[in-house]
Amino acid sequence: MRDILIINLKRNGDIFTTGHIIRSLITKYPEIKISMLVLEEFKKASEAMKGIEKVYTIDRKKILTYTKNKIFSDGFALDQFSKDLSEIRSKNWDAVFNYSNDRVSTHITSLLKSKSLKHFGIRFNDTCNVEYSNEWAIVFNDLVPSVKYSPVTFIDAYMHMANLTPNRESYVLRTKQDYNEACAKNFSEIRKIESTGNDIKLVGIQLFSSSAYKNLDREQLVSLIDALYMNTNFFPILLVAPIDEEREFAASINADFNNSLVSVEADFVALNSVIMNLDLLITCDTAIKHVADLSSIPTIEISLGEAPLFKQGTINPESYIITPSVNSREFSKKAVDQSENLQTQHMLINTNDIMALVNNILLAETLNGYHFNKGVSVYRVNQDELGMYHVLAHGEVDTIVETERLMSRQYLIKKFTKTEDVSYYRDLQAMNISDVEAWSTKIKEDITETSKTLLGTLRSLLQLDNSKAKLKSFVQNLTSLISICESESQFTALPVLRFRARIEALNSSNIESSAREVEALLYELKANIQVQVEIIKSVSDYVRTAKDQTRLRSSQGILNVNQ
Amino acid sequence: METINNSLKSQESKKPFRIETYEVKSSRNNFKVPVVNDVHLHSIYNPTKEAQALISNYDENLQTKNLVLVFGLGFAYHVHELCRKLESYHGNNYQVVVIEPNEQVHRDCISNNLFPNKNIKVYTGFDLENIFGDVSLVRFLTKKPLIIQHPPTFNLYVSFFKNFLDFTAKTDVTSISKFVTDKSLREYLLSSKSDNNQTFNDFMTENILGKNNLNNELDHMLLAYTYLSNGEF
Repeated sequence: MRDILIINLKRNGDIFTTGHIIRSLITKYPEIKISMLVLEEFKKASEAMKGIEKVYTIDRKKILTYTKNKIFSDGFALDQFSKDLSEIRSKNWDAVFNYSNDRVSTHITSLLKSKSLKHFGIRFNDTCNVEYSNEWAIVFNDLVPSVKYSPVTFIDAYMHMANLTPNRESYVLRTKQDYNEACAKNFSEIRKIESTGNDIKLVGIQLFSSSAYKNLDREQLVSLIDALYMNTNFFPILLVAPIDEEREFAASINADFNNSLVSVEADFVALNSVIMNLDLLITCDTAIKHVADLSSIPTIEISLGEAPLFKQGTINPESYIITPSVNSREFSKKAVDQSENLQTQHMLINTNDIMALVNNILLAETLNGYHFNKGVSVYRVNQDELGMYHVLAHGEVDTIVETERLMSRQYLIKKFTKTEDVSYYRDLQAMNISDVEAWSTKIKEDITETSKTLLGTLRSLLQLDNSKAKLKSFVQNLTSLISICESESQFTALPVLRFRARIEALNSSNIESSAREVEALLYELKANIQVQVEIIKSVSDYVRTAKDQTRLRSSQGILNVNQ
Repeated sequence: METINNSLKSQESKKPFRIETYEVKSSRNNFKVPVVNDVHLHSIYNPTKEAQALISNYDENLQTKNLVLVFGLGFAYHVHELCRKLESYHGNNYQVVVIEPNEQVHRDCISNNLFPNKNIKVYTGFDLENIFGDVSLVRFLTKKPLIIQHPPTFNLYVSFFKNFLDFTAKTDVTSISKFVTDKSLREYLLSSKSDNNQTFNDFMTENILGKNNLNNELDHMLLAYTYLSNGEF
C-alpha cells in the first residue's frame, strides 16, 4: 500500500487514537503516504501527528452556518461540501480507511469506490446496503456501539480491521525542537527548585474536558492540587488549552495558592512537548489522555459522565482508570443529560483515592490493604491475544458486570483466534462464585431460548414456498431472533448482533430470493452459539472447582477444629 | 475598491423605491452632499463632524470588531471616519462592506473623489437576489460583522433595508444549483424531470432515496451532504 486515506470525522480524542494505526502502518509499509480527512474544527489534532502527508478537511461549521441561516442559499453549503471533497475525489487511493462510524463517512467511502483499490471498515454498495471489509468491521461498527460494557477498545478494533500489529516503540507525535528544549529546561528547573534532596515527580493536571459532567468540580480539583502540592515528592503542573475559559479557571485556582502553581498553556504541538516531560498525567476523559498514551506517559483517568471507559479508556499498562462503579453508570450523553444522579457521580471520587494511585504509580507504594471509597472501582490495563483490555484491579466489584465483560471478550478471543484465555476463568474464581454461577445458569437458559428461536427460524425458512402464511411465520421467527439483540445480557446478544448486521447487509430486500444466504447466516449463528456453549461449560467447570476448593477448605477447617 | 453594479434599469419593476429627484449640494463648510427626493443624506452644515458623531457611538465595539457592515454609503463621510477608527485599532486588518441601493449616489461619490479606497466593498442596486448571490458577501456575513446604519440613507430606503434584513434565499433546486461550481454536480441537480420549483429535499426523495440503485457516485456525495447538513451524525 502506498497512498491511503483515513477518514475520521470525529473529535480530537478520536483523531489522536488514529495515531496508533498510523505508526503501525508506517512500520508495516515504510513507503506509505497517509492522508487524513477530518472536520475542519479538529484539523489541529491531525496536524499534531507525524507521518500524515496531507490533511483534508470538511468545513462542517461553515456548511451548517449556510444551511441554518435562511438568508444564505443552500447552494453555498453544497458548493462548499463539493469543494471540500474535490481533491480527494481527484486522486486514486490504494486503500480508504473508514474509521468513523457514521453515515457521512460511509457515503464518502462509497463515493471513493471507483478511486480506491480497497476499503477498510464499511461502505455502501449500489443498493445502499453495508459492505463490511471483514469481520472486525462488524465488531467495530455493530458490536462495540451496541453493548454497554465493550469487550474490545476502538483502537484494537481499528488494528484488527486493518490487520495491523501494534508498534508502541515509534513516536508518532509532532513536536518542535525549541518547545522540547524549553519544556525540558523549565521542568528541570522546577524539579531543582522544588526538591528537598529527593527526586521530584511532575504531575500534570488537565482541568477541563469537553463535557461538564466528565469533570471534577472546582473544590475537588483544589483539594487534589493541594495534596500534590503539599507532598514533598510531587509538584502539580496545571495544563491549560489556549482558550479564555480555561485560562481564567486556571488563574482562579492558582490564586487560591497565592499564585505559586505552575500552569502551562499549550496548543496541541506544544502540548506534546509538555506531556513527554511529565512523570504522570491526571485527567478526566480528554484528548490529552490519548496524547499521553501515544507518549507512553502513565495516566490516572477519572472516568465520569458519558466517558466511554471500555471503548476509549487509556490503554497504557502503567495507567489506572478510576470510576464510579460501572453498573451505576450510563455511557450515553443523552442518559447523563437526563439524570441528576449520573451528573453528580463525581462526588464519589475523592482526593485520597487519587493520591493512593499516584503513590502507587510514582513511588511503587502498594495498594494492598488500601480501601477505596464505597461505590468506586479502579481498572488497570492488561494485554491478551486481542490487544489491550481493562481489568478490575481495586474497589467495588459487580460480579455480574465483570463476568459479562470478561466472557464477552472470551467469546471474541475464541471467535477470532480459535483459542481461549483461561486466565479469564481464573479471574472469575476470585469473584463472588455464587453470582458467577447464577450468571452462568441464566445464560444457559438464554442460549437454550436463542437456539430454539434459531431452529424455529431455520425450519420456517426451509418450509418457505409461495404461501403467505409460511412467509409470515418465517418473518415472525426472524423478528423474535433479532429481538435477542436487546437482551439484558450482552454476552447473550453478541452472536445475534453479528447476525443482524449480516442480515441487514444482504443485497436483496426479498427474503425468498436470498433464502440461501439467510440459511448460511443462520448456520453461522448456530456455530457462534456453540462457541458460547463452550464458554459456559468452561465457566461451570471453574465454578465447580472453586466450590470444591471452598468445600475442601471448610472441611479441613472443621477437621482442624475437631482435632 | 470593488463594486458590484446591478443595473437599476433592468430591475426597474423590482424596485421598491422610486427616485423622483436627485441633486448634489454643497455644505456650509464646502463638502458635497447628495440629496435624494429632497432628503439630504448628510448634514448641510458640517458632514464630517456629523460623521464623527455617528461613528463615535460605535467606538467601543470597533475596538474588538474589525468587520463592519454599513447600511448606506451616501458620500462616504461616515465610511471614511469608520475606516480611520478601524485603522487606529486594527491597522490594515479590517474589512468594511457597504450596502447602497442608489447606484447614482455611489458613482458620484467616486467621481467626487470622496471614496476612501481601502478594504471596502460596496454593493449597489435594489436586487437582493443578486446581492445575496455574491459568495464573498455571504462569507463576510457568516463572520457576523458589526452593523452600522447611516440613518438618512436607511430611513430613505427603509423598505429595501428591511427586505435585506428579512431576506430568505430560494430553496428550489434550480436556484441552489446556480451556486454549485462543480459542473457535473450542477448538471445532475438540473437533470431532474420534475418542475423547476422542486425543493432540494424533494429532489433527494424523488431522485436518490427512491432509487433502487445508487448508480451515480454523486448520489453518495449528496447523501453525505444531506446527513452532514442535517447534523445526523
